[in-house]
Amino acid sequence: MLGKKKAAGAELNEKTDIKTPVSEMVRKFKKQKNSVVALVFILFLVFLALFGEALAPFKINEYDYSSILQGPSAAHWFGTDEFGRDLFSRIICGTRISLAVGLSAVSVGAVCGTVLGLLGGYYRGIVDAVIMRICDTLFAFPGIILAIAIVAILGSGIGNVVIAVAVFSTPTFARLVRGRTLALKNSVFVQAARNLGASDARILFRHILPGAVPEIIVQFTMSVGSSILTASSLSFLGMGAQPPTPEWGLLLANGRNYMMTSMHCTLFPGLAIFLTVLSFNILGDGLRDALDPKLTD
Amino acid sequence: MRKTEKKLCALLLAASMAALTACGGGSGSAGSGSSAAPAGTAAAGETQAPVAEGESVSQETDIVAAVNVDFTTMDPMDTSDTLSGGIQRMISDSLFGFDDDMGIVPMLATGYEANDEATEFTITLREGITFTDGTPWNADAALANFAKWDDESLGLKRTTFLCNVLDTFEKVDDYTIKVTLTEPFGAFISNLAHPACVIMCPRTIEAGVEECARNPVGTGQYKFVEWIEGDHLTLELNKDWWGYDADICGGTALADADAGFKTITFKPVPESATRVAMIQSGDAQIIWPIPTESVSVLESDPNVVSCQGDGIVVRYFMMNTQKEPFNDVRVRQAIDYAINKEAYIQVVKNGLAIPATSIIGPAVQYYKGNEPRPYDPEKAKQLLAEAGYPDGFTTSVMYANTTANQKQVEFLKQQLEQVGINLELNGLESAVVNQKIQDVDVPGAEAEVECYVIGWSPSTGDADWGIRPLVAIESEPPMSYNICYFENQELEGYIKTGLESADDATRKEAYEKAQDLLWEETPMVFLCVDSNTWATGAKVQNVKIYPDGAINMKNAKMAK
Amino acid sequence: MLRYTLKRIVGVLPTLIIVVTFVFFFVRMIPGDPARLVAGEQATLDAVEAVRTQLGLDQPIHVQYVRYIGGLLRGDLGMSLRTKRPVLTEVAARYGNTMALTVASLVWSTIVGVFLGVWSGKNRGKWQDFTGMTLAVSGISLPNFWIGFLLIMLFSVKLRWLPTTGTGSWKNLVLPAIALGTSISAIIARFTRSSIVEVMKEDYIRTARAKGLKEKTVTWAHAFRNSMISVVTVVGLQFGFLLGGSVVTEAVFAYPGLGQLLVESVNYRDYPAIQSLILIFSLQFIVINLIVDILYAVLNPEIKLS
Repeated sequence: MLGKKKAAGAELNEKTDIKTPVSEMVRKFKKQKNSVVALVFILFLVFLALFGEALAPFKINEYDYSSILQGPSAAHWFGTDEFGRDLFSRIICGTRISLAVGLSAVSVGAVCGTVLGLLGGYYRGIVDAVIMRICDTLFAFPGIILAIAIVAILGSGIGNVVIAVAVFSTPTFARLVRGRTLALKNSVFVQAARNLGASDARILFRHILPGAVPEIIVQFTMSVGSSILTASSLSFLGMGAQPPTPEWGLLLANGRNYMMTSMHCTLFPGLAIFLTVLSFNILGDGLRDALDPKLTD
Repeated sequence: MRKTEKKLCALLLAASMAALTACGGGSGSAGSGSSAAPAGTAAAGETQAPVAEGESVSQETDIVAAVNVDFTTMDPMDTSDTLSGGIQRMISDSLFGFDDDMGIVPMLATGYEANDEATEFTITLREGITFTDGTPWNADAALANFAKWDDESLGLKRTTFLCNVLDTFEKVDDYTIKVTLTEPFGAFISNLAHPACVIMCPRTIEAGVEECARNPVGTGQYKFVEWIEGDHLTLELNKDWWGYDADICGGTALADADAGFKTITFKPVPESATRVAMIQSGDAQIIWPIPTESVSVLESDPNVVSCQGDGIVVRYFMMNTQKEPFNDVRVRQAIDYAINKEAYIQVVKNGLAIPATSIIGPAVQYYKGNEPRPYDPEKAKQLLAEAGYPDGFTTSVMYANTTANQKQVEFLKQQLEQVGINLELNGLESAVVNQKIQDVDVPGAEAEVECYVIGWSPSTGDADWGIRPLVAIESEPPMSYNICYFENQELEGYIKTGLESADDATRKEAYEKAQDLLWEETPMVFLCVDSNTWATGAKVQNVKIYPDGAINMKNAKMAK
Repeated sequence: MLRYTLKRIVGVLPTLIIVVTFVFFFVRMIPGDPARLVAGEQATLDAVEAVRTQLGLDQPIHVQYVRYIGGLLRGDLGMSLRTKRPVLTEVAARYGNTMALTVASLVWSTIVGVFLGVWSGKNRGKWQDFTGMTLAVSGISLPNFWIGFLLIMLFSVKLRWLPTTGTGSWKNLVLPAIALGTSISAIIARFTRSSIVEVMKEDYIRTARAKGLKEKTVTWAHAFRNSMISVVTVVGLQFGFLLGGSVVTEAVFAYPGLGQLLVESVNYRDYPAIQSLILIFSLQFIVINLIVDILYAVLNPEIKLS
């Protein structure tokens, strides 16, 4: 009872601090037409990921040996692949996998990174030193090299790609959150909360974390895009998703065998990856601009 | 196939006519013979420097050949890939070699005599030959090679190929040697024709394995120039090759010395699409293999000649016959009925294969074909029901995850689904495949592998090497490739008979019976026999691929 | 300045030690038996064991570790299991190729990126800005092997202008460098733009304009010069990214560099080669970051104090 009462003051403080920026942010975001378009496109992708399988004109693995590698037509909008499977349907069904890989990997990375960043920034000392040393080590590898190394150990497969991508996106979040934590740790409202006797956990998650959320969101959005790219690169090197999974990167990597005769096999999966990553990047840009107080217009 | 052959003939004809006209018209316009050909690459352009009078310009030409993997070593005894083996065959000759169809012909030997038990072989050597470093070829040189083949301590990959059968080898006179074997071995001469047994210069052997691997010297048609790992390997035509000398060859020369080019540069280009782009853009004059998907593109390109030949690589779907449900022959036959081989060839091989009719391909010695089981899913279901699997079952297939294997197993999965069998795909990197399959030293029933896809080509051209490593009891992992863990005493008898006799008729009968037995027992599904595919620029002629997949440039020519 | 430099160099040492150790144990966790690979598929188990002893793989792991560190200090990276030659020789043969590709990519992408960034930045909110930033965000979003294949299709097969693969001539570098540099140039463009936008708001720009200086002079002599600090940082950091990206690009163009060697080594479970390559990639990365840090301090005098 006592604790709750004590915290009330801090909460009030927080609300007045946050509320205006949020509506301000929405207002600014709405002004950025392409970011809104990107957001709509991403929502559409999410819709496809959830219901695409039911909507697709053909089943994922429905083959037809009599129409192999045919170009786009009325029956097959994106043409067919080397087993006569409908590429349009496969790309629709692949939405779920590509999005899931990107989102889950970055989510894991964001959660781990955030926790590490909060702990390091708040407690400093040995905890911080260890965490930052680990981050430095992970930063000492170019992303794809680290991913290759991880996949080499765990074996190829989509699950391991998620782990690999999660591992190398963790330090980015850790650094970012640590920086914010250091800045917010000595702010007036955190000091106030501490004086009122709030627990460390409460301070970290109720007072400091919300202050870092905008930057986390921007970084998250950007990372999803690059993770989808990394996953497709791993598929290209034969270390990612395994057939007959209709993961886009795999479809593209597979289509390269037929580039000379059937451009559509690489063109459409490539476009799908490109547009998805593009939307996440544009959305990230829009969010950043909307959240950055320096960029007033 | 016939179409490409015709095209090739027409081109040859045209080229020879062009050559004739060029000769008649004097050397002044030799360079302008074929304007339709793609513009030379930068490399070729640079090498066409001014040359001394009387020597034709093209003699300096470099041919670029793009291949799918890098070379591993130049030591024949340490080679397990066809590509490196093929290059070694160009640098070095063997005692016995192959003609274009893999028939055995004497090379550095002129003949042999064997006793009836096939344990003693007296081999006579060809005279008048020197290695490219000047070392003479004679009995001492031959014995140095035998000593290397017999030396287990070197730890080379192919050491077990011969060291267990070689007993003694001695010099009878300067050009005769006598080899005694520990046990009867009818396929001995065929084994000497295997690319692992090409003859290296005794000086190189003396210099150690490192020298053999990096700096080979042989008696061959081509001289080794350099090998920059991952980038290129260059060979130079050996103008003094004994095969150009009709006297040494005993009548007719093996090839014409005027090849029209000086060097060949092999470049490893793993990406199939890039390889195809290289031949189309003129960056390469030879590529192989052509990815089957690109054959139609290359056939329609006027600057490229795409070629095709019979292969001896047979593709198998192996089943572990020691494990349920594959211990029941009805299940194995059911799977054979359930796989549509025609569709397999069309979809997976783009039509560039023929249905398999035996465990070995038609080009292999003692081949006997059988009537393939028709595609009949109903019959398959019926057999499965009889065996106690009316609703099918789930099993998994391991495979090295190359692009070609991938497509193959996906197709097999689709086919087996039709009869209720769920085939799980378990693709592994080649190193892991070795660990999970090759190193396993347990009885078949305890091995992890259930099914496996593999292609096998007996580079000896003999039935023994096409059958024994795949289905003999002694060949179960970790010794060799009997991943079916097939154990059949009757078959063992045939294999033994074939192995222990040097008599043609006896061996033929034994191997024919063995093939019939295997066809009935179906320890593996015999999927197809690959055709070899390769392409050359329009100016390059007579490049062939041996049935086992190695390059054959014996009569290669570059038109001006 | 010297003290700062030394301090930074000393500060990197613990990371180096951790990376070296990390790589050693990391690589040993990879499944697959290297002794079997060296001995060959048909070798007997005895032969495999003999090879294991010969390679020192039968020793306890800490002995192997000490041996490995000792070797590193002497510049010995071990023997490649695949080619049986010193890893250093293998690396040396390809290092130049990867460097050439990386530098070529970085040079063109910096030039293009900076111009695009400045062009967009000084025309903030206008169509130039929109075009420039659309190009940039697209560049970041393109899979580089896809670009690679499109380039091969267009310039090698259709137009026959440029070779598809190989080394030795500048022509061989053009296509891989384009494929590799596209996303970098986009990233540089974005950073340059935002940096220019920031600088353009500063008082001294207004002063320069007020003095009646030409717009070109204002842009390049004042705005760009002052935004250079952040641009240099980004360019430096992208160098490491390029090294990683080269793995995929080299695979597409069959370009004989370190990336190709890494992929081949992973497939072959060539431990000494894998660990040396990962080590080399990360060492370069660390060194470049160090140089960028120091450069940053040189360009920005404020940093020295902290």
